Amino acid sequence: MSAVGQPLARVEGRLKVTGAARYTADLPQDDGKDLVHAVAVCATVAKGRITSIDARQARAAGGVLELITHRNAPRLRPVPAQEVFGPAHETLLVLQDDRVHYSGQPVAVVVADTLENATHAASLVRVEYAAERPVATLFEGIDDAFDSPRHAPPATVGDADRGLAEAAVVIDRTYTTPAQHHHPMETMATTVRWTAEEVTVHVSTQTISMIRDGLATTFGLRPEQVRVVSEFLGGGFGGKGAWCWPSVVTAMAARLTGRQVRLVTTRRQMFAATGQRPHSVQRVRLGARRDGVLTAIAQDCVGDTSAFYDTPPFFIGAATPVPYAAPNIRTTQRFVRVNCQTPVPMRSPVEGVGLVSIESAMDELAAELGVDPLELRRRNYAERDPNSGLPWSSNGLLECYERGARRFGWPERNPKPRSMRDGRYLVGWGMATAVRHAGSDPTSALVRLGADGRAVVQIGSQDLGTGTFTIMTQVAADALGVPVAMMRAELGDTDLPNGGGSFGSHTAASVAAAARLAGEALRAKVIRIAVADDGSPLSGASPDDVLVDDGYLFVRGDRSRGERYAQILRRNRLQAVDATGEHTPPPREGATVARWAFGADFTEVKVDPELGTVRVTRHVKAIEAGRIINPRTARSQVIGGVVMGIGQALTEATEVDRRDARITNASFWGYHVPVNADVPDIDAIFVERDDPHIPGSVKGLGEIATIGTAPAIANAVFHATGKRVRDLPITPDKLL
Amino acid sequence: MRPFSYTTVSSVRSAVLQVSPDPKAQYVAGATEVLNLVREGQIAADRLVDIRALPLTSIRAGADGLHIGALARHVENHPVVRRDYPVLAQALLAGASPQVRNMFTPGGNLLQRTRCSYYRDVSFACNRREPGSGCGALEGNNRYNAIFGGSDHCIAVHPSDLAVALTALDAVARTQGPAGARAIPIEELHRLPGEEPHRETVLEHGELITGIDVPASRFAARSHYLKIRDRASFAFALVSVAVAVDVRRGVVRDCRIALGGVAPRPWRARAAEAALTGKPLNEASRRAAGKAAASGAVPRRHNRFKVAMVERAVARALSEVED
Ligand SMILES: Cc1cc2nc3c(=O)[nH]c(=O)nc-3n(C[C@H](O)[C@H](O)[C@H](O)COP(=O)(O)OP(=O)(O)OC[C@H]3O[C@@H](n4cnc5c(N)ncnc54)[C@H](O)[C@@H]3O)c2cc1C
Ligand code: SF4
Repeated sequence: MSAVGQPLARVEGRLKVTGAARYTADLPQDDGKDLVHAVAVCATVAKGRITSIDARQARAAGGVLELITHRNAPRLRPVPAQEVFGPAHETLLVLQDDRVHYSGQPVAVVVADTLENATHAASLVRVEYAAERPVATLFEGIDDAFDSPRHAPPATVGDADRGLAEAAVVIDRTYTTPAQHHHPMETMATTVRWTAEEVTVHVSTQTISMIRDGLATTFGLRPEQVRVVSEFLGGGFGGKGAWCWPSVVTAMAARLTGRQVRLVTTRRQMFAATGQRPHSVQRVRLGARRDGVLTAIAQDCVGDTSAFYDTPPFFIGAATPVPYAAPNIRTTQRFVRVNCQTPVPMRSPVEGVGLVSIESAMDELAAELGVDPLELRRRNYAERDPNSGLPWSSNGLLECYERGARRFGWPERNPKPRSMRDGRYLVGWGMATAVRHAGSDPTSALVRLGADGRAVVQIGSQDLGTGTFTIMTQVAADALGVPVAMMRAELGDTDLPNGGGSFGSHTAASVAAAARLAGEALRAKVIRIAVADDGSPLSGASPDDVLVDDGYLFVRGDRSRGERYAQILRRNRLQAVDATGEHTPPPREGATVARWAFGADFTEVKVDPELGTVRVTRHVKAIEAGRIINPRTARSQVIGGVVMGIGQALTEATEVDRRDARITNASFWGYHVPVNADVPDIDAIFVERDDPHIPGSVKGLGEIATIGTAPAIANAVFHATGKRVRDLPITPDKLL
Repeated sequence: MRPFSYTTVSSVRSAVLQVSPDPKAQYVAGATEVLNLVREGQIAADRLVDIRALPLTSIRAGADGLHIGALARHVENHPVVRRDYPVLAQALLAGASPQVRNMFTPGGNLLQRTRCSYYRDVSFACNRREPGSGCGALEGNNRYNAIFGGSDHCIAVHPSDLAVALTALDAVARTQGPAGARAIPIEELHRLPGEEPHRETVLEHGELITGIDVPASRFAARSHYLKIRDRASFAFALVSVAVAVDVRRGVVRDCRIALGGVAPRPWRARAAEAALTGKPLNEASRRAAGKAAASGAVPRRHNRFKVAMVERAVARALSEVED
């Protein structure tokens, strides 16, 4: 029986629920005798110069071993942006000079024998600044917004101005989305041991290979000298995908002290450790005929980027031309330099932000025309990718609409706002379309089979907690032809075959493709040994005629003529046999198809019209992401994604003081992620498709799981109340 | 974190004797608040004196009212509290999370510090934490700050839900200090900031809360707590309301209306009480009480919404105690 497609429970689940799984901040357990602790002192101004650092008291405090500032820090080499993802040029800044570019930037690092001593000493470091007036928000700098020097906007289609001029109806609206932070349960943890031979780094990261290459470059080492390990992660959501200072300063501390050093950022420091989802203003103009068929989509975005980063991070409108078949589409983005940490992706840097405005505007257009919002989207269904003009590799969007709507009961919707009630509550139903580019990264895998019939699959990838261990096991077991119980997965170590980053919804596709190739290669290798082996019942058979089932190899049509893997290895005195697989993604250039995942969100909210409180009471999400490897872990992804969407719509925003560009809600109690009471029953529907252009038909789920949820909720709030809030999150005060 | 010593005590007397003379000593009860404050440096304690072993855990209900020990556990589950003092049980259940409630104590709850963002991050200016340093919130992100009872030096909000319900029940705190025992109305436990926001309560240093007395009243049984917040649970109030009414022959004879999330201490809305007293409880009187409750508010740049929210919350809470 095939393991792929089965709802296998997480293979590492037992370790996690029993506490046996060692997260990065728990490591190392065994040889931790010389482990010491580092604590960062972070800037309390957002712009200016450090004029003095008085460390006398801190140095004199108990247990202090080292105090690092820009005066004594090892000099770093810049890391080119193409080598690492995120605020690459920040490496120039970490403790390299007296400039401060954002509040929370590390200005000193204290190393002490215990965490308590290091924390105390860090609180004694007195830093004086010559503060300058920072740019605190996007709005302040909007007049100086600039075009990105690096990213070309996605291809424009037709002529948007003409399309708008020709339209019978034009919707022209501006939406804002706030800066948000990722809030993984596990904060950033790094442990480094630096010896002459090797630098060993345990780090909570979404990309071990990037940390290896980045550290090697910045400290002038060869990548082979750096080993990076990240076995279990307590979430990341993009926040651990970028190059960031905690690993750099921990490595500095390890080099200077010669000790094994651990640094775990505090929750407060997490607000400047790894970057955030950018703040954005999105003006959307939709032109349509009376029947709702779009004549134009124009989207003009402004997003923030940091004051020190010379390559604006990403283009939030990049997917705007994808969902609907408008003949004229244009999207632009300008950037504003703000004294904040550099924005990094957060569960879709593009669609998760840029489609909020498009999906809200589509709802406004539907209301304006008196067309059902779902029907409006159907009328604008794109038969091909409007952006590239290419056919879809596969597209289940219409079926997502249909099955999601049916499960939700959408046809019962009364189109009039404020028309549906439940006692004192106004009831609103909203929906949105979701799309997400489906890609993968170059990934290598190795599968090794032992003489006991047990096998292991190894990939230098990461498991964010999403199920990578589990799907690797399933795919490799099928490819080799053994039960999942005989297959074990190893990941999270740069000593393993190179894997890519765990972001961009690429992990499942990349890892599955490589694991499959390696498993199949190993199967073929053992079959070749068997058919050439006089002692084997398979001797002389054509390799193509040998089938494998449950670890038993036999000749097609004659199940009795066969033997088990273990027997072949033992007779041939082989301790183990292994094979590798290399997945190379199809090049983007010269593509003949457009590869995307699709989805549709349907949601119900209940609004207390007097008090302004909103509760999401039902949510149905239908997703077409090709083939689902594991419906159980996939469903978990969708639940998590919808929860994040609820936060984006209703509760989450990073608040900045406009006077000094400092974050004022840098805590878990001040920044509101949804709690259980905010989360309703979430119904996930998987519309499956075979995709001949994608290995294993795996499109990835990580981001499509959350894209579409926030605008669907905002649309439902409008339907409930008749009030359109265009400024997320929709907190009670905005509905009073 | 700052090093501190930790001791336990087993009698009220020795507790007071240990903490009173030492300005750097602090009681610790459930520790859900004090440890965070010490860790982040809002309070400079060199010594924590653990009072959890003191015999202050009982909950007694009698004809004269309710007596809650300062260390009583899970008051919200007590059957008499649930039946005769619903506002109290509801306020406790609306506070924090089950995990925090498993640890916390009524005494500690009353003495928790403000959640003003500028108070809680020691790198900001804050008169309450550091006298004379300025008030970050006055011109800053003051969405959560006070619209009543503030001054030009501080507009902090006291975050306790329990204290709001107790205020609506005329409760008093019983204390033991070096100078002896006294009783302090809950409403008056926290000082209004005036020019000295750093003097947060009327307690002497080392004065121990031993218990809370809730007098029997004709309005306690008909009471309700409403809390409006930014998410469904585990968030501090934007606005909260405790109402308790004595309605006889269709007319409100007596009532208490106290507000949370709007002032440096639980805020008795006396104008609203006056507006309601002598009236039948109906839509019109509820709205009038709401209007009266919001009168005199001094909102700031980001918390203007609280004025309308108070009006509506009071009216809604009263509708919950209508027949
Ligand atoms: C994340 C989070 C969310 C929260 N949400 C809410 C909420 O929504 N509503 C709400 O009301 N509260 C909320 N709280 C606050 C919580 O209720 C308080 O932390 C708790 O009540 C404090 O009680 P404790 O026993 O743990 O106090 P401790 O932390 O032990 O002490 C708090 C203070 O009181 C002093 N103290 C304690 N007992 C006595 C005594 N008997 N006499 C004199 N002084 C004493 C201590 O010295 C200290 O200064 C929240 C807390 C957290 C951490
Ligand atoms: S309002 Fe009070 S607590 Fe808040 S910053 Fe001002 S002085 Fe401090």
